[in-house]
Amino acid sequence: MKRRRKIGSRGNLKVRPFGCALILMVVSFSACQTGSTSADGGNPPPPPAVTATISFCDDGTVDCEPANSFAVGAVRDLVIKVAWENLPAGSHMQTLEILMPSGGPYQVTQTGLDAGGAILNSATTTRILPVAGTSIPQRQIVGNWMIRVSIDGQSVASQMVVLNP
Amino acid sequence: MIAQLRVAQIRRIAWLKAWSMLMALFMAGPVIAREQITIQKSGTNPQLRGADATLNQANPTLNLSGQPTITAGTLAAGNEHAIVQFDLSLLPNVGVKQATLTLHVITRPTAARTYGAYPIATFFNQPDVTWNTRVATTPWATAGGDIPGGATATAVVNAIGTTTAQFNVTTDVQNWYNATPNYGWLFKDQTQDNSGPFTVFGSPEATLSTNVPQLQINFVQNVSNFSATPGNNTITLNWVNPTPITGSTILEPYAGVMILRYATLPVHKSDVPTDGTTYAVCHKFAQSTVVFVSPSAATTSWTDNSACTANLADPGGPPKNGTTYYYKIFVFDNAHNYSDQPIANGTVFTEEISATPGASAAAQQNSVWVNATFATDLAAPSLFPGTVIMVASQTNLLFGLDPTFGLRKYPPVSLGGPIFSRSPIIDAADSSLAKNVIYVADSDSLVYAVATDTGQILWVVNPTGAATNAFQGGISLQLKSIAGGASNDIAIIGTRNGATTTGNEIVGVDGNTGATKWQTIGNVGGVAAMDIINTTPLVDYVNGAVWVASRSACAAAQPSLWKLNPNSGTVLATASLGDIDASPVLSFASDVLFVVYNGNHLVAGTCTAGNGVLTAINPVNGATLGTFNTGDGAIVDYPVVLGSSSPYTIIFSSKTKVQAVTFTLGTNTFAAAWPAPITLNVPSAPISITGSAYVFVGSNDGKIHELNATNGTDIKDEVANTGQPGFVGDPSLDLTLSRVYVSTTDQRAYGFAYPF
Repeated sequence: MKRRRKIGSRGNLKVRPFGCALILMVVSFSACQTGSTSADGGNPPPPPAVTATISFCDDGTVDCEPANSFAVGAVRDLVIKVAWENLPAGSHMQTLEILMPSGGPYQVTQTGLDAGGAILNSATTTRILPVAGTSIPQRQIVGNWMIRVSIDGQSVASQMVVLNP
Repeated sequence: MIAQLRVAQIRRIAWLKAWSMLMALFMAGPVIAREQITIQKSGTNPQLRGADATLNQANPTLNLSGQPTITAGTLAAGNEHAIVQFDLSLLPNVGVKQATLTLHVITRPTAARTYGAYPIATFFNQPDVTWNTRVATTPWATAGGDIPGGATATAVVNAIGTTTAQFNVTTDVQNWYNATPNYGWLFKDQTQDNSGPFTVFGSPEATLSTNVPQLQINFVQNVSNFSATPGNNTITLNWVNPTPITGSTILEPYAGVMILRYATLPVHKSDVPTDGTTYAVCHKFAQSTVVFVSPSAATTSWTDNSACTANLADPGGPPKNGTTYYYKIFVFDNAHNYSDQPIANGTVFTEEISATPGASAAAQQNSVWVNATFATDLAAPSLFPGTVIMVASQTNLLFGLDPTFGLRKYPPVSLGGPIFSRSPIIDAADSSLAKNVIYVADSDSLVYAVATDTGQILWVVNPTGAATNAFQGGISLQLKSIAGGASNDIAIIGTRNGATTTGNEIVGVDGNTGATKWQTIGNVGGVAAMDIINTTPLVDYVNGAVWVASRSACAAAQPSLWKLNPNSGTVLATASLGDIDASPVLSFASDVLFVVYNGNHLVAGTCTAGNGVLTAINPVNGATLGTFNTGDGAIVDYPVVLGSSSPYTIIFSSKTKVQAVTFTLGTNTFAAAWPAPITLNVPSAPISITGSAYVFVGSNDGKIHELNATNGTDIKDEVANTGQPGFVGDPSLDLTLSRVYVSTTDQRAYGFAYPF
């Protein structure tokens, strides 16, 4: 089981690792399928769990300092970064759902990820959510927004971000 | 003898009754069924929205589309992927039950190979698509095509004997009818070992019709023209049962409709019937109740006289005055297949309607239609009055709706990214393309021309060539039919690249071809720094200009109002007013330009919101004529200007109010037009026209408000979104049908007749 990671001091992650089941579905050459064994000749070691870490920052701030709470009137673009670890070999599809405080979908985007021929230790995707000048500040769509990410249809992580009035 | 005659007479009467009932049934409604159709490009089905290509890793920048064949293989020189996209326009309003894709094998591999069918996850443009790129300069996220990790289905092609490859693609097609964009399929070898084998399949352009790919779909159609008429403690529902689609085969007799009801909220999206299950009246789903199951396939009307007991917010029994009731209708066949997509937790599309009974007409409400858009989008729907409504979404879909009953004219158009603003529709008589066309820009940095009659993408371009130049505002068009000259219509739009406060740009695109005519780039070629553009440009035919409003890095030190030559992009004038997020508007005579700047200012390095300032500008020289401080935060989206000559009335929404002011040219003064601003819960932009008695505005209270244009009095409201809060977007007015259209955050668009 992968340990939870925090984003700076303000992290509040919900990480749901998933392992061999997904690997069996999508990987051609993982330990799950090749049957490679551990050094002591016992069962093969489980593949490392896929994890995703979601972080946010305001593109209009210096160095885009990560945070989980923003003043809606001051945010220019909300940068949503998803840091993947232990992606199985092959091509994958990340689905990122941005849910409004009411729970309804605001945006759903898909991004391709290519791990190549081996497990990819780390990869990061970035999604820009425009805020300044959009209906978010104009119509005061504020409160607890939820970001969910999945890989190849398997939900992996979710993270709340607060847009304050 | 008498007894025998009587028996014979009874038999004859009984036979005549049966015959007349059969004839009545036959004449009242055609026999319909769960249908099956095979979609294939042909002379009668041109598949205008279809596409195909081969992506070749060995020639990664080569476009191989429109060829008679497509290839999937794993050659020594590199892999090859085949892509096929079907146009499903024959089936705009259906529940999909089964979908089978057949590719015809032209050349078999040297050894048996297994091929997978994958739904493509990102937008591509057939004339541009290559191994590396999906649209001109826009690369795939993963070279060779963006696809999920697993194939939807696989098929084996043997070295000997195999003539077709068939894939069960039911889930993909159902997803396409449940909010997932349809970008077609990619086919590839399941073991890409570069060992050499490949298979050549017939493409939609195959010379022999027998080699053209086929998509066979079993489906149940929805009803059309679903309406609800409120009365005094009554609601009457009407609908039109479907007729078989031309070319389809009837598999199951059509049996009737089932109607679910809920009160105060729409029927929950998870309340959908399961195929093969029979439901009795008063069956309770998680939230809603079955209130009607039609006794025959000919039934087209029902007055709600429900005797069902209460279910959560539904008080049960027949409708009660003052309560809003929501209905969802499903067609079913003899095998009880229903007209929805059976996907757990999916966003299910079917026909919906709502009505509120009342003791008097004034107390009654009803939507004319409700349409599921699966997404949040608060931009005003675009429309060709009385002909078509185009509703954008933030899930990359563009819906073409019939304005009378809100039915989809075709399955939604799948674009590259979310669309945030209203897009212009130009009718064929006025368009240099001579087509009914909508120009759309999205956050995928792409601009599209889409035929509103068919949903066909006529062209798509990345006009700036950069993937970071997303579009937030809408497009403005300089029409050749008005401007004259030799140039085609010109589509003009500004970029929203949040990473720069100086390097955004305004671009002009040929409306017929999509070719970039000019680019005006901040800090390039003597142009001043240009911040993000959240607004829609405004073409000023009288003064030969296009006006564009931008932000200005939260200060007034760089321009935020731009006056350009629409034919060349040359900057004619600028004004540094501070951040602007509302689109500029002109008076009817083009003698005053109204612009609203936000009043944003820097406080300890942080951009802080201020109060919007309505500014009257001389469009000839750009001079400021007068200002009016709204005192209530920034203005929402755009003001509306009424009147054919000065004094003009300007109506606008701010953070908590709707206000109307007059502006008198000459004295250059603003004055209040209404006794007092109207306080609403975060209003949308208003809509009205000169001479109208009404102003319509959405609100976060879930309603669309009908205001008196003279004094602002809130006359009557219609419920459009029951969410908490219920955000209602900017309304559009259809003067031909006397309708107001609006989209909301509850993933729907609504039509209402006005006056309310």
